[in-house]
Amino acid sequence: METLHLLLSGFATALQPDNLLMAAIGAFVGTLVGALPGLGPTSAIAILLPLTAVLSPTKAIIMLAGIYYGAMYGGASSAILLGIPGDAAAVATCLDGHPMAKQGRGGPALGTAAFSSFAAGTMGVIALVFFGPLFADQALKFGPPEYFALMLLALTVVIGLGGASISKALAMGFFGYLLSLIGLGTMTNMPRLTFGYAPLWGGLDVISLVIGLFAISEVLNGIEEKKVAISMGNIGSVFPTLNDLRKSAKTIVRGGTLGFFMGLLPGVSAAITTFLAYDLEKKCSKTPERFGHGAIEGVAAPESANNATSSAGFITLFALGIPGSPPLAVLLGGLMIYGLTPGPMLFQQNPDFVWAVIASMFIGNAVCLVLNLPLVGLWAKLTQVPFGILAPIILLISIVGTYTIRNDMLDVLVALIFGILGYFLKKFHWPLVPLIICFILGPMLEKSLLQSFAMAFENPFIFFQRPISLTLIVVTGVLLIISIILRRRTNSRIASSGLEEV
Amino acid sequence: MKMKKKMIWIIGILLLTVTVAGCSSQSTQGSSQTDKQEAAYPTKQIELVVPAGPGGLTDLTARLVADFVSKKWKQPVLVINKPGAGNVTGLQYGLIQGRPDGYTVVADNIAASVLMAAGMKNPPIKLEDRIFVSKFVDNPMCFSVAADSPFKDMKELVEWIKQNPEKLTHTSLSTTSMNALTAAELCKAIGVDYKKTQPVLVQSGSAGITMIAGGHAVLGDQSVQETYPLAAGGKLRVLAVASKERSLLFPDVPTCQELGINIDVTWYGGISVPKGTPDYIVKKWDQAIAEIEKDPEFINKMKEMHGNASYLNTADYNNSIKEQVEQYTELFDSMGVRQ
Repeated sequence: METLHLLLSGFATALQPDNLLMAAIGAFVGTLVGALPGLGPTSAIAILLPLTAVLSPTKAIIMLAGIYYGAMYGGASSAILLGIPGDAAAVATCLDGHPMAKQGRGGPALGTAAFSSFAAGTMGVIALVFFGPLFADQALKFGPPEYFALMLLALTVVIGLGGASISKALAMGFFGYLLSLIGLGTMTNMPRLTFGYAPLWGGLDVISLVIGLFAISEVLNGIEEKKVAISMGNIGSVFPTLNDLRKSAKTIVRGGTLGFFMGLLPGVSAAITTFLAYDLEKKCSKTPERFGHGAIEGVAAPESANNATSSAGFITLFALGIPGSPPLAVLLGGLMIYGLTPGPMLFQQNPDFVWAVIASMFIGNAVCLVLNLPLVGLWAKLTQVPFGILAPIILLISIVGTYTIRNDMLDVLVALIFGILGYFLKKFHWPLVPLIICFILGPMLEKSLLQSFAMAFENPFIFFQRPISLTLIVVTGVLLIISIILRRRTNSRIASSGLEEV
Repeated sequence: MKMKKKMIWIIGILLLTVTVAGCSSQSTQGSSQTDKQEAAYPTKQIELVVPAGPGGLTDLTARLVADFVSKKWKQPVLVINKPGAGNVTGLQYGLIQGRPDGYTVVADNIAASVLMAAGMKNPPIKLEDRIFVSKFVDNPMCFSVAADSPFKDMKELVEWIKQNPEKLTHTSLSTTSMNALTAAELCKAIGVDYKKTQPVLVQSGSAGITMIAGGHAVLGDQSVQETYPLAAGGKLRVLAVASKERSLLFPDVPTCQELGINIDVTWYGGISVPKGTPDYIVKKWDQAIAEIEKDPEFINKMKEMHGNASYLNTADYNNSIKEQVEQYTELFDSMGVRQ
């Protein structure tokens, strides 16, 4: 009851016109930077951090938090309409969102993305309000063995989303893992696979891979096909139909729940939860063969997981002072500038602040929805712009975007190389998703494996001796079996329906 | 028609000569300025390179310095984050690629300078690649355990470590990080072989301290700034501070020296410039840092970020670095981790 009271007084603060304005500005800036690849929430928050010097702490954090979840909304629009995933988290959205846009259903895809983001984000904030500190303590119980088991579980996605051939999927996964090894070793800090070339010490950035493999290769593909526009047909209704939403309701709940619980764990980023949610949805679906060809659930699942993950990140940040992802680390910096120490003490010492920020998240989510929905129609028209005009723009955005990651031309070069590579891989039906997944998971697997061995004094059975990791490993085994059975079913259906799996 | 073409040529050549003349006169002006040596500095924006991502103590305190220095000199000081490769990316950008003209300065720290030099036989960035200007922030290391750990004080822990050195797990950013150094200094002081202990390598201070709070490793060897949030929240018990003086964040926690363990390990950050930067610019920076370190507002802001404003002038700073490099090279050698 006291929580509710605090929350209501938080709303009273957050609904003051000036605070409301801050939430709106944050959400707007966030949507904008989210839509532009490379310039993610991390850099946007970092750039705007000095601005906070003139604002009061509550206003500043409301604005910065707005940028954070606004960016999650914005990421969807470029992924769906242009096929440019701004970051790894948007790749899963791209898988079905872009095909939808090509079919002239870009409007409903965007609408569904905005709506599922809103619904799951709100669910996440509600969970944050009522169970925040409780869940935070559970997150501490996750040690290296548990992370290792969790990453193994995530790895099963490779089988689920790897396309028609398991061996091709595994080969691409292995290639992705090899790419992730480039740079300083996660544990040894010694250069690996850099061939004596010092600029490679920093490793490859996942964003340049994603932009290359998905956006640039798509442009090349379009040139080859002499594409006239992304979408040829009539745009039709820009809003998702009631039927679309009804279809997505269960998906949003599933994706949101998965995203929320995974998001509680520091280090488990939206990039991982979106793929897991997408794979889960494909498994739950009665018609898995539609995935990859513009299934609306394929947009709703990752988008809901995405926003739930970002809400859950606030729990570990506020309750424990642990930033789960880079943008949250910058936000933590913002809190520190004001002399606010995140952790359980924050709830006790500055309840007004905490609850105003939480209340502003409800409002911010609503603002994002209001901001995005009217624009959907306008955005969707982008898909009808002649490809001859759009293609150079996509290339330009991609190149500028990859450059802004680290202000390094090397990243641009990498994106271009992978653009060409991606074009050929797509042409010969080598799946790209396993590459990205293994690139993200590889270093985390390696790290948690070595850490587990170190803390267990080289005892390999540690994974089976701890209840959480044992459970996760059993679940992984079950998932693997289900995945293989489902693949057979999907493959036979694809064969009968004449569709081609991507 | 021909006339017109000729005219275009003439105009073109004229324009070219004017441009070339303009450029060359500008360059002579530039060189005469450097001849005069102590030209006005700064006359334009300065880049302050942070070899770490935004949000950490290195970044926050650098932003604070940037803020105060830019107010003082009435020139913008732009903080640029260049994280990656364990400080190397940022140092490479700031010290090796940066021009020694005072408009590129680096927020250096002990891990990037002393530990890199002491931990590697052939470090990618050497001490001689930069001029150490002055130190501006301190952040003592400390020892902590999970709140539900059986160890109630440092004495109990030390006794246990002496009995079971091979069971001592602790977290560390690398084999030659501040964390490894802190744990190794403790072992040396209490007569335990560090090589018997089990370091668990982690990728960030916050990941390391979270593992301690969750009971996945025994001994926390992070800085007070990294330890504070979880300790204040009752998830960690801080047993001792590794610096000479008590920490402002934990006024009730004894120092190791008070407990008879003779160690002094503190993380610190300072300003460095690329080698070859003129003396008068180094002096100007040192003076500026010395002045802002006396500003109560600066000290207070620093405290809010859980850092400790602490100044060393160019000479003292260089001496202390030299001493530490010798001391820690020997230590890392004895630990067998020097690469």
